[in-house]
Amino acid sequence: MSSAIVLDRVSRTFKSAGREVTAVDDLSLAIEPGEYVCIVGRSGGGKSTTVNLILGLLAPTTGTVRVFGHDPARDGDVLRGRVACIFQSDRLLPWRTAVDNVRLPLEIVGRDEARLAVSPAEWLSRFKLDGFEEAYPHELSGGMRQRVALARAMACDPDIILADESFASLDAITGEALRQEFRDAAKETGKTVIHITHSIDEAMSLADRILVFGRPGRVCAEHDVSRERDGRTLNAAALEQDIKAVMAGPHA
Amino acid sequence: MSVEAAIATRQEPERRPRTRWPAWLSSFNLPGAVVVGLLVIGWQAIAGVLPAFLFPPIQDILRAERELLGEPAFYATILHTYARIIGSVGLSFALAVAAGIGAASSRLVDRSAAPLLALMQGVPAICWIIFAILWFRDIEIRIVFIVVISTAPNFFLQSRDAVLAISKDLRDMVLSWRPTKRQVLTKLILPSLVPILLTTILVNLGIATKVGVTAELLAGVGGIGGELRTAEEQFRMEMALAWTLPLVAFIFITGSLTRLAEKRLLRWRPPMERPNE
Repeated sequence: MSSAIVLDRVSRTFKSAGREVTAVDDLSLAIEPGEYVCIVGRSGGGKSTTVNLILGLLAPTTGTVRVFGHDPARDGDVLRGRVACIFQSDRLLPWRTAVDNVRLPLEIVGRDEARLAVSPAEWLSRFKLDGFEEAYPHELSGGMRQRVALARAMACDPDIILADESFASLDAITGEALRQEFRDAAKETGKTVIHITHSIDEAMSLADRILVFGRPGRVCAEHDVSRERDGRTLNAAALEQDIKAVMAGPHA
Repeated sequence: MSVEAAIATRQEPERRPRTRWPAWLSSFNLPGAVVVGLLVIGWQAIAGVLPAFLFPPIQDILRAERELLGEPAFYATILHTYARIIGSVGLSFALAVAAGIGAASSRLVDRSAAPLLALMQGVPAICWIIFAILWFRDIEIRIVFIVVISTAPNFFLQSRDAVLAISKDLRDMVLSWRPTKRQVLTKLILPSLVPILLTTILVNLGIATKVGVTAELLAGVGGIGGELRTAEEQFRMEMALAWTLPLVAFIFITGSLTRLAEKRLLRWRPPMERPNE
């Protein structure tokens, strides 16, 4: 089976205040279709840069990024509608109602709403926003807006979803509920997910695999959580200690 | 958070209990009406002291207005001026907003536009009127030229800055779906421009009315400006004021229409509240 996402020796540098800053350094990873991968790491570890590289919003300075075999920075048209991102903030267009925000990717991709298995309104309903279809973002609470963003990401049935600290701005209870709803929806529909988070607990509860990033962005450690979970050998406390040790170590 | 809790947190602006007035009365601008009343009283008081060719009494102005309202040519004249202003502002809008969006998207366009902008803003409107009279034989082209030159910088700068002010977050969100350039324009840029452009249209209609009528007056090309010139030559102040009222009405009507458009197009905006209300 070919990988959904492959990053091969990718580096990305930025110019800041006259000097070069390396955000991602010699990063290699491969994500299989249907996998739920969490990336954890300290701030400034190049996690969001990695998301932007996969989205094609940035091109790598060196190395190659491939999404279903295509370069996302150059072959955007081929990947249109196949990759969605849920950002840390909801990023809803304020002039669109909730349901129109969910429709945005469908309009861009040119997908006929009538032929969808799940309509935008049904996605809103699934994320418990019945009755708020015609509400504008300013009329919704933070948690509700983030639900709309989740519905928007799911609406055009992408193959890959990138979640960049998507639940970080929510309170613990709302965040927990949304995380589970999102994971269930992603697993049911067979999405490949890269979920970036600062929370080790969140990563352990959601991921099939956890990648621990060091600074500048590269994989310092990797844990196959699903195998341990399935074999009932997952020792959450020990794993948390391991991840913390890597994050606090000299390479992080 | 449960749905119920989320619904409970749905933000509804708290409203203070208010006295119930009929709808037409509650939207009536009483303080504005008082100011207009004071102006009328002040005018009438001055008219009692100064000669009528400087400050004609209100009744003389109303009589002149009634006289004009009875002439079919009056309507043709004011409609001609209105059409000149609206047409010129429309052209200015189309050219300058397109250039503003182009300047926001391209440093080359932005830099190329800078000296033109400085020229348009630095040269006084009266100079442009003289240039237009000398350069163009066609009367309508003179007016269009002057109004476009006077209003385009506003449209250009406001649209350019509004595009540059679109948050990177929203831009990246839209770009992450890999839209075409046309989709970026229609789904992100143009909706972002609507609030500032509505205000700019209002401001520019005021500017266009001033310079357009001044151009009509100086160039002697008919319209309300031409009639004002005739009134001035005949020392008929009450007639000059009677011709001024349609201009005030024009600003009032276009202002009201713009505010209506604002209500419809900007209903997505949270209600604005003054700090002490």
